[in-house]
Order: sequence, then structure tokens, then C-alpha cells
Amino acid sequence: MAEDIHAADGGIRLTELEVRRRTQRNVAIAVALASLVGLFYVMTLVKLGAGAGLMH
Amino acid sequence: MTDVSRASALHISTAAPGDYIALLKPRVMSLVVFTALVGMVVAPSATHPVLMAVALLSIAIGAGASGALNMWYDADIDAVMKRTANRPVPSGRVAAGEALAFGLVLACGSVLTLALAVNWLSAGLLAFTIFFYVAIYTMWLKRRTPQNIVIGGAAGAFPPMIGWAAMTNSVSVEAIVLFLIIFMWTPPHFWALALLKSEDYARAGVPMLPVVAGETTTRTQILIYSVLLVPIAVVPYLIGLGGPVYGGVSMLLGAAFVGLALNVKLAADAPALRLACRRLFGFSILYLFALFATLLSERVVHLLIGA
Repeated sequence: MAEDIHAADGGIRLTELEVRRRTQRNVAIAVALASLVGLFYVMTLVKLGAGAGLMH
Repeated sequence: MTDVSRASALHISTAAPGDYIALLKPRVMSLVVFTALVGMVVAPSATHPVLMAVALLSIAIGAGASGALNMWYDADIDAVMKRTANRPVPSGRVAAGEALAFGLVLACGSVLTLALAVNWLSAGLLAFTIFFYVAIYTMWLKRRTPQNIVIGGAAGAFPPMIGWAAMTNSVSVEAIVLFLIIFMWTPPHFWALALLKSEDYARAGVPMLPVVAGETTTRTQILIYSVLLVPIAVVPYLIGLGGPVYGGVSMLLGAAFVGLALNVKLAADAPALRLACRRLFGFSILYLFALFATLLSERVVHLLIGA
């Protein structure tokens, strides 16, 4: 069993499933972060727009 | 050794993004989103559509965070109940600590985003709702009293009030009425399910009413709450929040609700009781959806005609 788990350098070698799931989680986090950036950008534009409207 | 058990022994996550979405209890979330949306739309004032969407998203994520924190705390009892054994934490796909961190981050993020997008009152209500669901219901009441879902039901009743507060920056009688409808709806809805799943709850040691007080008391309580619910559900019509269509729908469906609750009360044997409970449980979801959908439709039609 140890041969399955550990790479030659003594570290843990991930299985195909573990690598695939990690990649999926990374992509999901990237999408979530990018969406948050977009969300706050649009929110700021709307709020600034409303503020500008009040000044006129 | 399977991939999952090996990964779990080595503390390597095999969780897919879908497992984290499952932590948010998407089905509960959809009801929260819908009732919060109705609270927003029927409110007398409105804000920019983008900010409305952000507010709705924040409320949804806040509800999801409550779900994740609930699954973190309840993993031990979820593991012994058939209905919940395959949830991400008890099945080992997501570690308990990860669910906790995920829930906390989303809870803080959703409350702050709601505050930035609309106002602090709605954000405060959202924070209180999350606290109420996690600390008061999940940690305190759920394992201690058969009144768990009566008091805990408040957590599920807050979303329309949060939606209303997000639009008006206030909590008025109308918002309280919307709250009360869901609050009174929760006991008959959950007890119908609890009667069907009482063995599961007993095995998990959760003192649901059928487990502690027995079937007869539960059936009586279902009927009492149903009879109390129906007039409260008509109040939006009486105070002008809903129009005549809402008045008719709430009375007709209310009569059906009481009829089905009466069937549960009078069921002669076990198969009849199971059937009556299943019918009441299914109808209760349709009932709440129909009430709020009618309020929403009337308001949208009013806005379209007014415009």
C-alpha cells in the first residue's frame, strides 16, 4: 500500500481522482473570486451613479 | 482501500465543488430566495435592480451559510439518519472543519455584502437569522426540546422580512405578517414529515414531537397550528398587502390545508396516516409557494398596469 501512496521522494502521490477534484475546486474558487470582483465592480458603479444623480 | 477512504485517512480532500454547493442546502435556499424576493417586490419602495439582485444573492448565501454550519454541527446525527447520511460531512467527502470554515466565511461575506449593497438593518437581520438558525435552533433547541421546530421555525420565517427591510430600511406590520405566515406554517409542515420519519429521528436521538409526545399529540398539534395558520395567511388581504385574488387563494387553499390536517388527525390506521401525512407535507409546500406567488403576481401586475 505504501508504494501506492508515496512517491519516490517520500511525499504523497495524489491519485487521479484527487488531482481531478483539486483542479475542479481550484476552478470553482477562481470563478467565485472573479464573480465577486465583477459583483463589487458593478455594485460600485451603481452606487456611484446614484450618488452622482443626487448631486444634480 | 478505496480512493475516498484512502484520501480521508491521509486528510486529502476528494470533495467536488458540488459537495460545497450541497452544504448550502440548495432546496431550502430556493424557498428562502423566493420568499425574500416576494418581501422585496411587495415592499412599497424599491432600489436599483442590480442592488436588489445583490441583496437577494446575499440573503441566499446567508441562508446557505446557515445550512453549512448546521451540517457541520449536526454531522453526528445526520450520519445515523437515512435521509441525511449521504450529506457531504457524514459521508466523509468534506471534513467537518472545512464545512465550518466555509459556513463562517460565507456568513460574514453575505452579511457584509448585504450591508454594503443596501442597508445595515437588513444585514443585521440576516446576521441574526444565521445566528438564530445555528446557535438557537441547531446547537440549543434541536436536541433538547420537542418545540425545536416551533421556535426554530423563526429562522426560516425571517427572509421575507429581510427582503422588506432591504427595500424600505424598516420593519413594518406587513413584514411581520409575512414572517408570521411562515412561522405558523413550519410546525404542521415539519411534523407531517416527522410523523413519516419518526423512527429516523428516534434513532438519532432528536426529540421531535412524535418521538417525545407520541403520534396522537402530534396529530392534534398539527391541526391546531393549521387552524391558526389559515386566518394569519388571510391577513395580507385584510391589510391591503394582497388583493382580492390573494384573498380568494388564501381562503381556498387554507380550507384545503385544514382539511388535510384534519385527515391526519382522523386517520384510522397506520397506512392511512402515512398517506395523510405525505399529502399534507406535499400540499404544505405548494400552499406556501402559492400564497407568496400570488402576492408576487398581484404586485407585478399592479406595477405593470401602473406603469
